[in-house]
Amino acid sequence: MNGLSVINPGLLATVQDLGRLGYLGHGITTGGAVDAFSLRCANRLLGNTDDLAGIEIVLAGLTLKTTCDLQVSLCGAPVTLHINDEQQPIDQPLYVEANSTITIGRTLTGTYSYLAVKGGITTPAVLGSRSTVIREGFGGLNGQALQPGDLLPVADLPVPQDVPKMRPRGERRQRDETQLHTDILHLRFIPGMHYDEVTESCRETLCEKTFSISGAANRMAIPLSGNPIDTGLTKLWSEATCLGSIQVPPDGQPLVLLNDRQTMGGYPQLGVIIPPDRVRLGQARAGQMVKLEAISPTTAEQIVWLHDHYEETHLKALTSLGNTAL
Amino acid sequence: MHWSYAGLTGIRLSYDGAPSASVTASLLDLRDRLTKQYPKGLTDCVLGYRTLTLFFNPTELSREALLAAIGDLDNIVGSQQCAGRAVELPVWYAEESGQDLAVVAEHSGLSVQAVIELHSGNQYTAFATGFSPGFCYLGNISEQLDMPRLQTPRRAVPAGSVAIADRQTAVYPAVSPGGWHLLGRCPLPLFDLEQSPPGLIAVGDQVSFKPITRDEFLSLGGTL
Repeated sequence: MNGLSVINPGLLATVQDLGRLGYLGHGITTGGAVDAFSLRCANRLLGNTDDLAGIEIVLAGLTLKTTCDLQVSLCGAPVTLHINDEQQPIDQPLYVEANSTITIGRTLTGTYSYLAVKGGITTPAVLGSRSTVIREGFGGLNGQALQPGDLLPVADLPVPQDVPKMRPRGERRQRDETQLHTDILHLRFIPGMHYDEVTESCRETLCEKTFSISGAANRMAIPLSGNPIDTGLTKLWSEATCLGSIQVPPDGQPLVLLNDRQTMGGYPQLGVIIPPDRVRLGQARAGQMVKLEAISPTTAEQIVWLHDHYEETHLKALTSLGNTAL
Repeated sequence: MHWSYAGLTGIRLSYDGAPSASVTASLLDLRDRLTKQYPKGLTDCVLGYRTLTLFFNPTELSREALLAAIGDLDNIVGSQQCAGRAVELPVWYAEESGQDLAVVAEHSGLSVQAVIELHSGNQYTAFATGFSPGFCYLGNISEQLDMPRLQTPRRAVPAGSVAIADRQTAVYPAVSPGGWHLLGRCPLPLFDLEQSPPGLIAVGDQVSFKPITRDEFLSLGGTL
């Protein structure tokens, strides 16, 4: 079997695709790339379909060795990429010979980056997805994060050495997405769930105070710290959680729920952050100041429509490039 | 019953009264009717104790159309009976398998044997599934067994543990942290990815517990 051999997994690296959809009612979380757009970009650059699995890298430190010739691409946080000690551009399809070393180095901004391989990582699919959910122990390779010595299988496809070069507009895109948030990151949300049951002063604390991302962020949730929010609600009946929910446990420090969240929760949920802002939050780092802003569903629809249109346009440009790479 | 947004692609229906088997039955009926009507448009339907959260694909189904299909919110909860399957789970109740039996007995002023009879003598409705794959919230247990959660949750509860908290009971499908009181162990796998559906219990099922001996536990595949 050929593929990518893990020399050093770095901080945390997992196999992810667009997630395990349709099983929330069975208590099975979606998982999937926190920044799905960056994974899709990486796939499109290689002529892959969007649903193929890649490697999600948290911050840095992943070192891999190729056991066959491959085409790869790296998108997301602006990390450094070295192939056999030579720095290579990200947001580009790259040809890599067998027995090469791929090293993902550090970055000053952003958290998640995605390494895609032509044809995709081909670990077994579980309930229609290859996404790893470490807590549940399934997906990826044996349900775990990458370990030294793992061999990740890749699709057995012919890989031409000639790869077209993308003009550097791709770099501009990802700088926009993960630029240093020296300012406050605004998180727009649609009020809902328990929002109508909390007091006016609770809503004011939520939307008028500034919070910062605490150091305990992971793929389950991003904890925010700041003035405690008193929802006045206790003993709720467990109910569905949402991707991007603002959940407030008894200590008053809100959590924004991400891809690996538990499907049910017993704490108040005050609203759902719109997808583009959720991904920006996911890419941000501990200490980042954030402010929550309630918006109407109509406004949210307009923002999300424009954002989706922008993403689709960008992906189409990558697709035409990726297909010439076939 | 009222509805609220659950993000741009979700609707949360919530019953204002207390959860009950008939509320769950009503929400299940609605879920089944809607999933039949919109097999592609509805991506996920999640029942809580008294909520039904519907997630939809906006390119297939609009929020307005979904709300229209749901119809009059005041007519959703009626006198429906739970039509779920009857599921009997064997449980080895013992100090060795349920380390909180004595504490629960003391708290309720009953003998250990009476606690076991009280817990196994009832049929429970599966109100919700979640927390971890295959974990089902079952209720309601006898008021006499109503106990708050542990002050400090255990870091690792063995797979198959049968536990209680407040008026609820559940079986832990896999080793996980847990703050409920442990009464015994069930030898059957509650979650198996090879099965379809992977969970042994589904929302709406009527679950009962049957006391078994240590030997029966082992012969049914239970591990110590």
